Amino acid sequence: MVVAVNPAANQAQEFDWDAIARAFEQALGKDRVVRRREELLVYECDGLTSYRQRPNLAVLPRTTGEVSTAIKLCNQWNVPFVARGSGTGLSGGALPTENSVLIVTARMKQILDVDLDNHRVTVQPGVINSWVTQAVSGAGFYYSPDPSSQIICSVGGNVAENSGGVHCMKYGVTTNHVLGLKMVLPDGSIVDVGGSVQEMPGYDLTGIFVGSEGTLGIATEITLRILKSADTIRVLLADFETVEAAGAAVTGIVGAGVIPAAMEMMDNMSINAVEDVAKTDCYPRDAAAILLVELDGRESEVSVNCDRVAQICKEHGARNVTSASDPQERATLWKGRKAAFAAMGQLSPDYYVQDGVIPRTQLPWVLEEIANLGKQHGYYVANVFHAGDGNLHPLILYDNAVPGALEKVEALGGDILKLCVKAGGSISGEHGIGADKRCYMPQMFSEADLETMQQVRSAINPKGLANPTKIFPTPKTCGEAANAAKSLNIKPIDGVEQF
Amino acid sequence: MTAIAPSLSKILPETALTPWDELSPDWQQRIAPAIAPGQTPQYLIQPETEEQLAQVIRQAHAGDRNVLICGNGSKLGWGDAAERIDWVISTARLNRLIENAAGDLTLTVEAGTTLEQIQTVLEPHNLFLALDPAYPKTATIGGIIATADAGSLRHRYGGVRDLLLGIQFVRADGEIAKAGGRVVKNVAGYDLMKLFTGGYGTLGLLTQVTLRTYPIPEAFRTVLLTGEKAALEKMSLAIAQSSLSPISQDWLSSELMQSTAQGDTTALALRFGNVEASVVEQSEEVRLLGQKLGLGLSVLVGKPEEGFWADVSDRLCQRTSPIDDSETVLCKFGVMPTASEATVQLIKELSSETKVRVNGGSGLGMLRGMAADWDGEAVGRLRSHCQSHKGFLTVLEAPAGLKQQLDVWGYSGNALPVMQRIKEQFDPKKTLNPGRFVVG
Repeated sequence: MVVAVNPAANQAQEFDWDAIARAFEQALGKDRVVRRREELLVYECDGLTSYRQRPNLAVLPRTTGEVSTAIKLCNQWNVPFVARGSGTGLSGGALPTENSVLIVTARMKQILDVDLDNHRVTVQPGVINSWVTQAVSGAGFYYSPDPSSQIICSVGGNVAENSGGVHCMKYGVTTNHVLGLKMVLPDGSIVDVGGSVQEMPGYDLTGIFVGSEGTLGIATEITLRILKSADTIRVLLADFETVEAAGAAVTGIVGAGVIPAAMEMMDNMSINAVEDVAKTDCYPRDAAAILLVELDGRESEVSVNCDRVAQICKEHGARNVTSASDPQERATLWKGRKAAFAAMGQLSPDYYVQDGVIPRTQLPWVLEEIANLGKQHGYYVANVFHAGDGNLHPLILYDNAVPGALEKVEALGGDILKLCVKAGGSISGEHGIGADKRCYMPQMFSEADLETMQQVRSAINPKGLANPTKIFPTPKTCGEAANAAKSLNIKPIDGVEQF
Repeated sequence: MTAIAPSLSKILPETALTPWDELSPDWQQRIAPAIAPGQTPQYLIQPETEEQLAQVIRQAHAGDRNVLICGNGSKLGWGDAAERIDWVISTARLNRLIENAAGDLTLTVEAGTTLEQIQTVLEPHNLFLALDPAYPKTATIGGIIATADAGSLRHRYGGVRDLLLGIQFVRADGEIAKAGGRVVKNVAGYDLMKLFTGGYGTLGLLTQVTLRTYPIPEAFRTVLLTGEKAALEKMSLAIAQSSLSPISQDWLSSELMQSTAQGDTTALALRFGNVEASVVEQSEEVRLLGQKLGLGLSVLVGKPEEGFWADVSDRLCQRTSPIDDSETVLCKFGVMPTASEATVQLIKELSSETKVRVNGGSGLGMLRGMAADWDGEAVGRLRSHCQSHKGFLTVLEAPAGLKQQLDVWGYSGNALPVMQRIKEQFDPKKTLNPGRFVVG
């Protein structure tokens, strides 16, 4: 297997944290540095709470210059650093590593420039996703990527994880909306990549930084593309007696040339969970699956497509098709879907969300296989699914108080990922690899694939100080799971130890 | 030269290896502008399988041979001339369809497949690849990706980067690797697709690619608007503020319009592709808006509509003057979208014979002009205009003499060292396309 370049993290090194903290306080001011143990507690995990590690120090810079200063100090002391935005990520991308400085961008909250004529907005990384839309909605624009945590997640975090959302099918994910970045690289130097105009000559560094999960540096200014809001939005709800029928309807809709803004599916277990908890009275409890289809655009387009989608759903055996245009009625139809995760939380003491992708035409047999895996492992699995782009979110219900339950659930989650790969898909559609899935990377990628990706990391993060141990498997983090016994095939890098 | 041939002939069928002297004049002409003047490569190598290709690259790597990479060679004139090329390697015979997953809206093909072949495969499924690049009849998908060459359709469907989902490639050391996947949403691992898009073959040779496909719109309609500069600019802003959803929105210079026989003044061309009712309704709204602003207007439907866009692309691709066969230049440039019209104007002032297309949404454009008009000074003036509007200007095709005087790429940013470090990691011996790209 391929070994991550994590010299600093892996060396059994003693750090003088008092001296380091003083150096940061001196350079950035005391109000930028958090060093008391109890204050550091809030930073010990991100949205993936099953992994915890308290950072030794957290810094809260306000400017690009301060981020650069912080990273230069990390280089001086040879101490790893981890970037964190709002801490809502679900793969442990912002999980501190042992002996690390956490660089928190939460105070970098300025919207730096709004250029409506050119459809561009430039923000600092701590700006919350939904603020971007709020800043431009008065003029009839919005920022399209909408992860479910959009009211608290930061744009910087979205950039690091290449976040998605329910509306990616038609409009794409974060990377399709980022035009340029100001980056502080892992050596503390500052570069501008991309810009206000796309396709500058040279390598598309913006494209490689987006989704690199903080392993290639920290974005301190982000230029985004905004879109004009649609005139008309209509939501259809259809319910089906079999998952196959719902899956066939999805294929039929796409096959008819309709690209909905969003297309979501929920299975019977999810339907009953939300009806138990949210009591929307929208979703029939005996349906095997429901499909929510949102169409947007000009009225002339939406009305035609809406009729078509309704027709296709009926042809594929939908029992009822309801539609709504009024914002309040639309919200009612969406309510159950939006309450799905919370509902699981009430049905079961704990739940584990998986994130995998399959080619959407493989849906029926994959869902059946997921149910079988659940039975084999002894857990219920509910499925909420971005049906348009094949992004599955199986929810595994369990009780963390039962000793060993989390490990078992993680094993089931892992089997689901392997199934996604077997179906021709991916181990992550939008949550990222982070600390959570690095051991599954060899399921999807060969040694040569991972080695090639590591070349990018070696080029930009040669000392391995930026977010070590993330994305790539290491024997230390996944000895057995990733078959560490396999050959170690990586080019030696000067001054870097191999494991 | 004779020492190498036996080892290459061991791994390649005879038909895959052509000495330079035996190469058709057509191939020689295509290759010549990509190679430093006075030099000739030993062979054109056209492997038939990925494994053959990998073995050739392994030999090149081991024997310190420099290689020039191409598909069908339609754009070998783009970029700087390469230095000391031993072998030219074409992926054109890697042209198999791997999978057309119509229901999943993805297509996987070998990199030497031409765009035309791809569209032929997709059309019966009512799908298409939403790209209208230069040289659409001969360009391979590998070459289109390597040059990030998208045309007017980028307005709705994005650039090449937005359509590329997965890649497989042969690295500079001959190892085969991949990134991404065959699904439309995927965040596992680094997005190497982005580095290969517009990387001009300097990081590896693409062998297999997965792309996102789209349904062919049910109906098309194009509206051409002409008139006073101020009124046209108002129109453009009004469109940007509206919910109109054209799939293309281009500024076309008078010279380009003239060559398509659809007018003789600068035009704003809007192409709608949607359900029939919507293209009719949207064109009507544009007509009313245009009328209010006193703009001239013509509407194209059916065959003339399709023909018009093919013409725009063809005229921009035309390499020599139709009158006297004299040489031309082709440049790609970008400006802030609101500076699009001013850029068309400036180009007209610098050379009234130049054909220009600028996408109004992205501010990305192309110009085709006479080499006699576009000397170093004119290029320099236009480049500083583009840069003052946060953009760039790259000279793609030009006579060798002009290219030697100029920085062809016009990269003005501060990230060059980062690009060079990436190149150094991927291709430390500079085996692939040495000297062709921004990174040297």
